[in-house]
Amino acid sequence: MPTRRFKIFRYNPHTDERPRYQEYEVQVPTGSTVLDALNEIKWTQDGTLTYRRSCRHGICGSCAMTINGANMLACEAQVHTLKRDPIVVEPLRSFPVIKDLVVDMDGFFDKLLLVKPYLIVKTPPPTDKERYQSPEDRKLLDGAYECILCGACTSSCPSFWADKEFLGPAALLKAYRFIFDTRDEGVQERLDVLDNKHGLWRCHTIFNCVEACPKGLNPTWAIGELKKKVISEKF
Amino acid sequence: MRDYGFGSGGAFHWFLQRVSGVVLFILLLVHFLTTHYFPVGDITYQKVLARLSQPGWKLFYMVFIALGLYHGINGIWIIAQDYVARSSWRFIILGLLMVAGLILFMLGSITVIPFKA
Ligand code: FES
Repeated sequence: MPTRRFKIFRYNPHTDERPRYQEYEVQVPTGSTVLDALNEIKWTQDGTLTYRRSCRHGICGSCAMTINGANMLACEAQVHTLKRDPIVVEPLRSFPVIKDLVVDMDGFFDKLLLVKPYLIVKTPPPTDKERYQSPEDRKLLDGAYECILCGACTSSCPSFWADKEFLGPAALLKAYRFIFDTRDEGVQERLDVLDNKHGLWRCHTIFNCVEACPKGLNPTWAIGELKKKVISEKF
Repeated sequence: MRDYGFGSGGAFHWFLQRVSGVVLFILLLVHFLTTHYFPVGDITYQKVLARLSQPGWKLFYMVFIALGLYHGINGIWIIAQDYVARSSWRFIILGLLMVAGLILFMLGSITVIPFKA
């Protein structure tokens, strides 16, 4: 069975003055993911290693981390595809580190709430059926509803590195998901949050978010559509 | 303190940055073609003088100067907004940029407008 070296970011704010890196050697059977390797380390070598994970198949979004410099889901990153040795595992950039690979996502979720991530309706629903959404209308949301809120995009965004108040690609993609929902009537309510110095205009179409998204989504494109929408709403 | 993000959230200036960019591209093309690529004969001071004496060309270059300054200064301001969080610093930077823009615009105007053959 092949063995791989992992160089892992370690930081315990209670005992460490500054972060450090620790190396581990792990046996990796074919098909191992980085999460498998982390589990192996935690369960058999060093129980103090801390990281988030839950579903272990790329849907809960808890295991996003920076692996060999790129943001990805540890549970989807196949060890054999990672050529660099040792494999460097770090917490998501630009979020405050709570411990080791666990970052504080509070700010990230606060921003999500700012864009009002729910259907806003003013007209009463039909009495005999649900609000209608045609298959074509539903198609408009393809590429927007699949976000698993792992934070890989926002953490990879240079605009967010520079301005921690910036809404970030994840929240903006969520705004897109509701603003372009034909049943939604809440554009005006969301306008102030989007047309804001920490909103849409901080995106300079750098495309890092597109590269980082483990679900293959395109927040940059969605942000572009939102910019057009805001311009057409305002002028 | 007021957020110095140009009144609104920046939608108008984002839009104008794009529009000015497109218009500048066209103006630049006209400028390059007439001045550098297809000048009739050699470029001489007399010829530039003759061209710049015409009101149409004066207007052309005034628009060029105005849009170029707007586009460039707005670009720097956008970068400043990315990196400068403090309102007081933003105020100072915006003020300096506007003053610089105004001075440069005046310099441009006093060069282009009184130009006579
Ligand atoms: S553990 Fe759920 S996405 Fe990786």
